[in-house]
Amino acid sequence: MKPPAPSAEAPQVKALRCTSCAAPIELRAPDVTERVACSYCGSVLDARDPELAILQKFDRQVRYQPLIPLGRRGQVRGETMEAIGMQRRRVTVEGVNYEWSEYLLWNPYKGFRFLAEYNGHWNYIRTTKEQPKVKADSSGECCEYLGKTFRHFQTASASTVLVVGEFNWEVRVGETAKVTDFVCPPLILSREYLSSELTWSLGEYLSPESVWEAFKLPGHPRETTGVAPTQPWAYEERYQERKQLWPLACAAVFCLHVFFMLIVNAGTTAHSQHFTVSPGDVEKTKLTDVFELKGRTCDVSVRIGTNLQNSWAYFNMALINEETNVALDFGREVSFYDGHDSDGYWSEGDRNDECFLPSVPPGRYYLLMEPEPANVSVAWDVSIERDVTMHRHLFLALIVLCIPGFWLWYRRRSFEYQRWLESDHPMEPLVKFGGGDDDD
Amino acid sequence: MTKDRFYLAFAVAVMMLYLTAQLRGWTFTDVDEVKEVPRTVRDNPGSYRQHYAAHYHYIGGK
Repeated sequence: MKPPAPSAEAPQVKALRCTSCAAPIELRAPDVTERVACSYCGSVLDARDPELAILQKFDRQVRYQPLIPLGRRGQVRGETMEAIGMQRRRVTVEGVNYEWSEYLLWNPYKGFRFLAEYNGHWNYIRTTKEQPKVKADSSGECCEYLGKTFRHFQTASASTVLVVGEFNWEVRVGETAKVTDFVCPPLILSREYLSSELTWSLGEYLSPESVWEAFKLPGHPRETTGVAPTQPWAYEERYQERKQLWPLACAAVFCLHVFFMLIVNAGTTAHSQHFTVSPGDVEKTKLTDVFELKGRTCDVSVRIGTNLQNSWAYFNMALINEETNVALDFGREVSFYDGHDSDGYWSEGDRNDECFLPSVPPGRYYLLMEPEPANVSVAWDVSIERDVTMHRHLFLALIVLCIPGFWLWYRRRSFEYQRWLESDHPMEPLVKFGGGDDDD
Repeated sequence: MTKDRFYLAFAVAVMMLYLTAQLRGWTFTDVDEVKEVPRTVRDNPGSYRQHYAAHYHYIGGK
């Protein structure tokens, strides 16, 4: 809405008193004001009429205290603006009324702006110079403007329920406009059809604290409720950065793992030996020959390959240091079953097993093995290897690296879910509880 | 330089932990350390009594 050019003859207002209730009325922009609403009785008067003809009158006293007092000046986005009017507007969606305030701001050099307030959230709005391009996408309409794509948020009929102060259009209580909002946070594009007039406006989210500071309002702004359509997420920048850092961190861990696998923990077989045990054996506990684990403290792999067939065996084992007489006791179970049934061949378990002993210092060792049960007949090969790369560490590191990014993603999604909750396109919740039909 | 210093520090910490785990040979195997194993075990292995009690007998198969 462009500010109209100053008329050749400024309208002469003879009486600056409300024609309905005689309350004082101050016209701050007399050259451009078309309607003025009395802040005491709510009557809407024709500002162009020297006699201030009453256009709308209300039986009851209407008093509404705007958050920004009319006549107050403030510095918003580098522009000094004066609040000259305020209207309350309402949309009704599925029987629920949603109301917000729109403050008309005026600067004789900059023209008109609006400040819209809803649930404690603020948007600074101006009419657009060009008409945005409206396109259809998978979710309905969208807009392109200033190189950005604005998604359709809501289409509703907005009616004016209260007016206070001055307006540069023929405002009426009860007038209804079809309003369509498109958002690209922190920006909003609004398309408004009022009578036969089409208006496009571009708004930007303002924090409540910045509005309070701009107009030097007393106290603190009220708490915001919910997430506004244009409210930016406080951690958006951090989320985008983390999205870039995460694959780099994973790649770094992966490269480290390959380095370990190929060079540092290349794996060296320290000893291997074959054993058999039968039910008739007097001594079932077997010992390997003494072997040496060289180098640094590292993990040791003990691999067992058996000939079990439809049977199981439990190996009680101990890796004993011949010099220090310190033993690492552990146990491993091996079982293998197979057969044929109506579905064909099946098998369960594995004849082979491998376990990793942690932080074994270098030295001379032997491995003690005692298979159970006592009546088992089994032959097995045991192989001891040191400096084995643990692949599980890589997977764990990758999972842990994902956690902070996943947490931010979840927070962001929750924020967006709240944002779109009151729109025409609400998001699906991540987790649904209940559901299903009740059987009567 | 990234502003997400928390994640940078977190990633470095995870990598240091990974490096330490690989270099020191940390694993998840449950072992019991027993000190002062008698030297006579080499001559009489059956005399060694396992301290590892946290095992169970599994009987599998169809």
